[in-house]
Amino acid sequence: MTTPPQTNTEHLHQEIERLVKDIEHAKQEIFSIATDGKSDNALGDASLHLDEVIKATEAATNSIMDAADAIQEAASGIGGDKEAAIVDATTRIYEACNFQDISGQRLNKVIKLLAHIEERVIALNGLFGKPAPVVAAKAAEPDLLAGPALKTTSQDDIDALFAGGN
Amino acid sequence: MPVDKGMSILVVDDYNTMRRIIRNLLKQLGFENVEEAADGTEAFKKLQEKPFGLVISDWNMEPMTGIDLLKLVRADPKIGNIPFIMVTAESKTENVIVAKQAGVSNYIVKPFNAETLKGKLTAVIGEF
Repeated sequence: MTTPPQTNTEHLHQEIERLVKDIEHAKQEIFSIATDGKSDNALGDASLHLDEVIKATEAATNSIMDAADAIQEAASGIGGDKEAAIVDATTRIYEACNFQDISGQRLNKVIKLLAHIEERVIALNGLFGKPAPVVAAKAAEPDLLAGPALKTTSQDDIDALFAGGN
Repeated sequence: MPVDKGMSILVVDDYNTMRRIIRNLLKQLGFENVEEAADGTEAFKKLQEKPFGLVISDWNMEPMTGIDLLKLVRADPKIGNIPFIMVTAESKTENVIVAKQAGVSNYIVKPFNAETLKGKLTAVIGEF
């Protein structure tokens, strides 16, 4: 017995369902590592995670600029080429700190775009009268590139767990 | 007439780090009298309170954006002539046109360096 050929409409619906699943997988891959992949509100967690990334880069940028300020202050009064070279170097440090603002704005745009695409694809899927396919939450995996951890477990909490044995 | 390096400059940006970067670069260029505001509303209030020689503003801020601040400033006869530089990541041509039509004095795209800032300042307020 042969399978009846798919209609264009069925094929379109399958493709849209696949897109919905791909988006959900992408969100889990990108954002949910620090939340154990268990959430009823993946997008909310994604925003939270994004905020943490922005805050961490902001704190790092301020530390870099604090150090640059200190260097410049220590150098003031040296005079001559040496002081000029130090001022030039600290200026380049300030310039390089532009990245924090740019990365924050870019990240915000990415998450807004992702949310928009997801909304449209789910709406398209809804036109076929079916709910969005459910994607099983993926277990968390260690990843050095995951970015700063959310406030789920602090380093102090982890240290306390190790200090307690077993 | 030489530029008064003691003039007050208002830096408007919702990112504290960006305000600090601009403040530091201005300091390197010899401008130490810098005040800050975190959005258009706060900036407009400060502009009403005392005279400023220059406004350097971001575009994307809430609740009041940089472009809304610019329009408000230009519509106010008391402060309408203040030189106004937009410093923003919004590099789309249509945005630049909108800002130009609203009366922006110059436009800097992030990321930028001290040389760019110096060049735009010179273009707006003169050699220093």
